[in-house]
Amino acid sequence: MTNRLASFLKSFNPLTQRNVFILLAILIAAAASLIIVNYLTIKTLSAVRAYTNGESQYSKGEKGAARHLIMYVNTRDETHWEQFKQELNVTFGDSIARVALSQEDGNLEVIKKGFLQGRNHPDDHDDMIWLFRNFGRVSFMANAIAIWKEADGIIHREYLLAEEIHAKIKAGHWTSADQDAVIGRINSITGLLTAKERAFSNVLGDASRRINGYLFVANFFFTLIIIGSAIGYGASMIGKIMRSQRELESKNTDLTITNHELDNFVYSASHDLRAPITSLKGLIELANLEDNVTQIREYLALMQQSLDKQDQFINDIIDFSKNKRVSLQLQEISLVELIKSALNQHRFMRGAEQIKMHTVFRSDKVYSDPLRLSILLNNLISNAIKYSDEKKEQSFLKVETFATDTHHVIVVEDNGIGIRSEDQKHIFEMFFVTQNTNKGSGLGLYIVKEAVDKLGGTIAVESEKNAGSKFIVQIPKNHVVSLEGVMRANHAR
Amino acid sequence: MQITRDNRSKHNYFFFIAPMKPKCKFLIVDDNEVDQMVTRTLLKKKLAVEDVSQARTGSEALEWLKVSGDSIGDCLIILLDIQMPEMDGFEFLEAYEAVDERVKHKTTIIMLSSTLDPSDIRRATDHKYVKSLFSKPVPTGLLDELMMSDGA
Repeated sequence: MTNRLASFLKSFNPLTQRNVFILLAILIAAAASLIIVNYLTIKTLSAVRAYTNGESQYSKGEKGAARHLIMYVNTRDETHWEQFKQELNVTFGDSIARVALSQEDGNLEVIKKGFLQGRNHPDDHDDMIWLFRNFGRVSFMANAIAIWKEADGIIHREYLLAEEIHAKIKAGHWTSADQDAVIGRINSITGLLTAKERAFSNVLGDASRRINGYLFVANFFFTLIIIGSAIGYGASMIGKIMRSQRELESKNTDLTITNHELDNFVYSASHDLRAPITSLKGLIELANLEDNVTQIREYLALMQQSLDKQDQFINDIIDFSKNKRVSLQLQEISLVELIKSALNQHRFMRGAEQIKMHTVFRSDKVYSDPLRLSILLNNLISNAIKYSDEKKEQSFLKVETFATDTHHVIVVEDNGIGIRSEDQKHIFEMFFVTQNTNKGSGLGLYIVKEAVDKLGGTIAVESEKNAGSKFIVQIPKNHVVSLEGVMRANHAR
Repeated sequence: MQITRDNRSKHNYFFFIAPMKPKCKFLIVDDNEVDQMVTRTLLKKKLAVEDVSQARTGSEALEWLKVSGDSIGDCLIILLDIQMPEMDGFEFLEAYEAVDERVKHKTTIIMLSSTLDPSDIRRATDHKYVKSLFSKPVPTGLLDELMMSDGA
């Protein structure tokens, strides 16, 4: 049993909701028990004290009666006889009470009257009755009651003797021989009674002391439990607070990061939005200075280029925003359809006609989000076209799909200008542009990465400067999008 | 809207072909090809400037200064963009500190940008090596004014 208890205690985690309830329940139970135990014990001790008091009155009454009886025997004065009877009434009262209490359904009034006659304070009666009724058969109380019964018996015999004496004296048959005999008997009776009274007191005294001991132990024990569970409860609360605190701090950090990102974004965006406009203004100024129509046409072409770039940038920002804010709509999608459509959209992009595009589809149906897939496909394809190498004899762009056990894989490969190895780790960063291009906004691959993260997938790049680039995107098959992936996407940098 | 720190001179600025007293070399530091071409053409058409070199980043500009520093002649004007990859305009200015004093002595740096950011603008105009900040496209009139008033 101790093993099980030990292992239970070891595995007890004070932080779970259920366990907190248990602690609270223990605490309340212990407190309630403590209160009940204290109440009962105090009631018991109070009753014991009342009985001790009662015994004291009983003794005094009995001793007083014995004294008066002896006086009567010596003086034959009726007043002593009356007083003898009066004093003995105290013990009779207690006797009546005892007998009534010993019965199953003793009359309460009779009992109380008896106790009153025994000189017990009325406020104590209820406690005395309670103790007798509830503990009458239990150890010390049963003992005390037995002694009490014996004492009552002796008193009864004393009374009978006294009546005898009274009758004899009244009749005038009293001799000095009788006198000596009687006094002897009275003394011996008194001796017996004293022994009983002492025994009664002792029993109650012992019981009192023992109950005190138990009370102390019980209080100690329950208080320990209360303190223990209070501490446990407090600790679990503190644990919760500390955990919330940590969560709050991490959320704050996230928020600060997001704010930084936003500041960065706004700064870069405002520059990237304005730059094409200043270029345009310059070109217009040049066109105004120019008479040569061919030259003017050239300038117009450059203006077109600037505007295309700006248009693309605005598109990127919109994609970025949609990716961040629109929730995933998972559905069955045909990769073949999506890729063909993306390639089609880029057919008339500048430089596209020189590029040979081909596809290898070894996997088609996926269960994923169409928005993110088209964002990433469009970006990768337009990049391949943008960064194609005119110096090469035949530029190509290949899009391939296949599946592994766990993922669907999309590969976009070109033989364009490639990416320098030192740039490769930065290309997915926001607003990162490589040196030799004016063509990028710096957002395209960042958006691709965000989209891939949102889908719970991964993206990798293999590239060699001047040779070409290959982007490998893997989307998990089981769209229990990993929570990590989504969280990563949400907390990205 | 042209932004300039220097507003002392009140000349009307229509010198379309204004031969400048000392022949200054020009260096355009800008990664945007279109802007490079626009600036170069405007300098040629409006200010008859022929000697224009180009650098696409701050580091290329520093290289150029190292190589061609001695052959500058009377004066050099650098038209410096802010936003460039690898080493931007401000980073260039930090590295410019280490350039040969004789070269710095003959050089005027003018920042040319499309920025609207007031902290960028303040940072540029407060910089000890920057003569002025102009907004693209290069305001040839203001440029000319600036150079005239300097006398170089």
